Amino acid sequence: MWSLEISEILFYGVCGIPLLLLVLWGVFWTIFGILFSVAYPFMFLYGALTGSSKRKDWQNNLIIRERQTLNKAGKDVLSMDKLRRPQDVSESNVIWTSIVIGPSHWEQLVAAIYMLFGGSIDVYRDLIALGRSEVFQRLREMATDKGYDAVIGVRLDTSMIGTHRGKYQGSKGIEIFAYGTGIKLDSSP
Amino acid sequence: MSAMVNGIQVVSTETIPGFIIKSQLGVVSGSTVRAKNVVRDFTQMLKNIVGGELPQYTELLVESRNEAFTRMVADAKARGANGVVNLRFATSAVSPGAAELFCYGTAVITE
Repeated sequence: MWSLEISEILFYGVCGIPLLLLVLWGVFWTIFGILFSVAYPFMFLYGALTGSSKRKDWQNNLIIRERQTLNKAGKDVLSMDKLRRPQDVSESNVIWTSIVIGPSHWEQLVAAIYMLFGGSIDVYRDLIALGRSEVFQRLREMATDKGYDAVIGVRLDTSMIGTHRGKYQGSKGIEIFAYGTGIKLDSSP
Repeated sequence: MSAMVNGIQVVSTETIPGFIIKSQLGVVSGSTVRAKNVVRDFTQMLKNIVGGELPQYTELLVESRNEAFTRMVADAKARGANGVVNLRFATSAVSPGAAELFCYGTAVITE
């Protein structure tokens, strides 16, 4: 003969939910682990095979966009100089833009092999150089969209973000950040 | 006329073109520490395998910088300034998975 006491009801009622969550958590990670281990080699291969052609497309696209802004503005709007003739300026304000890029796991592997021998690591250099060009181009586009005639005092900042859970796991991102002062020149003579 | 952020004109150069700096009120700064959420982290981790840009992180960092910038402007406003010159940005990874975004400049009164 047994009787369900109020304390037992409370015990199963309260502890049942965390236990259920724990089981669901386990099921979720098991399914995820299986899917991930099946999908990972394909993603890795996809990154390895399409990486260089994608980069080439990006580069060509960038060249076209640079030419467009150059034709629109007549000159390169960015400069690191101070202003030559301050009296011409009607408006000035700071603008900034950034990009976060990450090397694919294939490139990380190639870089790791290169790092054994030292020397220049071209896969990273190409990526970062392209990222810098992209961020400069975004600054140019932002300036022309907002109607600024020039951007002075441009500065670049590069930092590493999002490395976590040890050295070889998690996402690896390189942030490239550019800012400068956009100025509008007086059009009236 | 100048475009202003909350009545404060911010430039990254040493002087504000067309204005004379009357007095300076010291260094003002604003900062924010941000972490990505788990879902974003996960999707960007998957994107990272293939490589290329990580757009969610770009978006997040721009948002965070806006916040740091707003705080700096509020600081300058509290000091009674009407401009900030020599604006600089700095980024540091304070802990794995979180980044500190920091901006600082000199608060000035212009005329």
